[in-house]
Amino acid sequence: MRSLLRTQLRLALSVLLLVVGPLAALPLVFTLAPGVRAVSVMGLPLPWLLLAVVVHPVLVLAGWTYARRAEQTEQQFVDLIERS
Amino acid sequence: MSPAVGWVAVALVSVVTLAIGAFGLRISRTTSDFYVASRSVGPLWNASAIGGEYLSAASFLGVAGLVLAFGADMLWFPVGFATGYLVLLVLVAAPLRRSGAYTIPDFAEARLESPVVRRLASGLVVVVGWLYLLPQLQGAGLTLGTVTGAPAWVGAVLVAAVVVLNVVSGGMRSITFVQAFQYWLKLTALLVPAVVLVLVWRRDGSPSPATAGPGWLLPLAGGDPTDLYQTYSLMVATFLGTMGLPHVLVRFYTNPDGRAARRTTVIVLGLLAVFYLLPPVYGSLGRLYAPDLVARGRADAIVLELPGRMLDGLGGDLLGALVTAGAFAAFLSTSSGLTVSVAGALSQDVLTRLPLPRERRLGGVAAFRIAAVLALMVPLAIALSTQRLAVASSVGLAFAVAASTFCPLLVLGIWWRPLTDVGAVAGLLAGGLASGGAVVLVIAEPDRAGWLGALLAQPAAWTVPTAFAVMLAGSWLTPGRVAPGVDRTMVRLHAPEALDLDRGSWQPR
Repeated sequence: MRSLLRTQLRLALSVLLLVVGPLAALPLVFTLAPGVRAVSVMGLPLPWLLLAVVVHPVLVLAGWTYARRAEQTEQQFVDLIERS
Repeated sequence: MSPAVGWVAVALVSVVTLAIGAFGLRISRTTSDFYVASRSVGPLWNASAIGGEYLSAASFLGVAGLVLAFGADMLWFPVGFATGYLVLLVLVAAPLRRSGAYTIPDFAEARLESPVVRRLASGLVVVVGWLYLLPQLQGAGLTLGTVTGAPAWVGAVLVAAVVVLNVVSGGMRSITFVQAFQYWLKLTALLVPAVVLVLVWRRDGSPSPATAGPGWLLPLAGGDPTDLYQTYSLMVATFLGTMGLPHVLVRFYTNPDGRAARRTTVIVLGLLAVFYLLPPVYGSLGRLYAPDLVARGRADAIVLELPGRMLDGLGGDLLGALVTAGAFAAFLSTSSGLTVSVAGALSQDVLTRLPLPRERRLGGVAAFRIAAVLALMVPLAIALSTQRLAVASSVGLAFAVAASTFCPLLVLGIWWRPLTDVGAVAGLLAGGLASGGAVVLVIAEPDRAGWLGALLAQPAAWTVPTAFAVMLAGSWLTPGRVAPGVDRTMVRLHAPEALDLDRGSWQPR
């Protein structure tokens, strides 16, 4: 049981680290390297492209991956218990 | 737009909402139907309902208004509103569903086996709920005033009346259908005009809104360290506050099991992703076609006014009516969800415990109905008597209080076995008093400058760590008070339903 809890918590924290980490770094990057803000991609300034568009599909993908991994972990746990 | 068109749009949404509610009424009979729709709702319905309930006045009107007025820094609002769902998904969705609790107070009682924590959590549900209802009602007043010229109180009273009728007659079951309908209405109402308006903008030669200067176009352009603090504090509040919003959590109990709760949340993330692409479009176009709204302090009305500004005649009228209908759907759906949650807390922990003689004691359903009326009366009174904060800022404060109280309770309760009732109470009080105090000071005096103003307007960055620290320290100091059934509760929270295990005998009331 404890190992299940630990595995799930590790999975949750790594998803958060991978998604929220870079997001949280953005304001700092914009402050420390103001030049980055002015970069323009396809006519949109980089901050707008990242915050208004790119972030959303990334969140959905992260959520989908997480849900699949969490289900796999649970299935392994069920198999383990039922074999014993 | 002519007032008649606005009235028709508002009346239509209200009538359809009540009609779907009445349809749900026929299948809603028992107390558990009232709270959680008997957990028999499919995942897409449920995800639409969650989305419908979550996309409030702040998302529909407020975000576009803030982008119009302040530019790139405000893009963090929609990002935070969406990311909050990812955090909720990975940290609480499945375990919370498996706990079998209907509400946060139920969860607190099941996990910590303490009626004191339960009652404190109920009190906080009411506070957060009222704080979040306030901007919904004020937004309704603003909307109706903008499209019909009616005085501000009319819209607030109208929304309150429709919500009370709906909640009192059908409870959660009817609310689930209404909410699901509202999501699709809100999406259509924002998407269709946005497409048309972007085409008009292209016909006009695609002018750039950037002429407003770099302060609007680029984030953190002022170089003021309080801006950076406010951005981070907003991130903390929205990322961690979403899981603590009472009307969001109650939805998770309508999933059949923990796995379905996760899958539903992923669908919700998709629905939110589509929706949140749109408000920045309105904010940016507003910069070109309606910049005067900012100076007049009416930036929140941009979504409503833009179609009429960019299109003449019937086209502008029809699209204006559509966004008005969407805005009303936003007020109705979020207010309904909040009212159900606040009424649940009030009826279970206050009204059914009144020291009345046995024959006059209130039954579950009767208490719920009375509580629903009470739940709306208080914020309505406040909405009618205070000066208006920007819609999204007051919603931001509700997120900050939720993040400073329920987030530590849920996260530590689910993942940290040594949490004790004493630690939980201390943490809830510390986080609640700190963030609640900041809210009171901001509502009393909204325009404080400098660091004090920033710390109060966006308190989450210091109140959330405080709450976590107090909750951890309180639990460390009272190791003997770990709930006796904690091991069984942890099994219940984390073990897949497929396993036949001892999950304890706790049942929600």
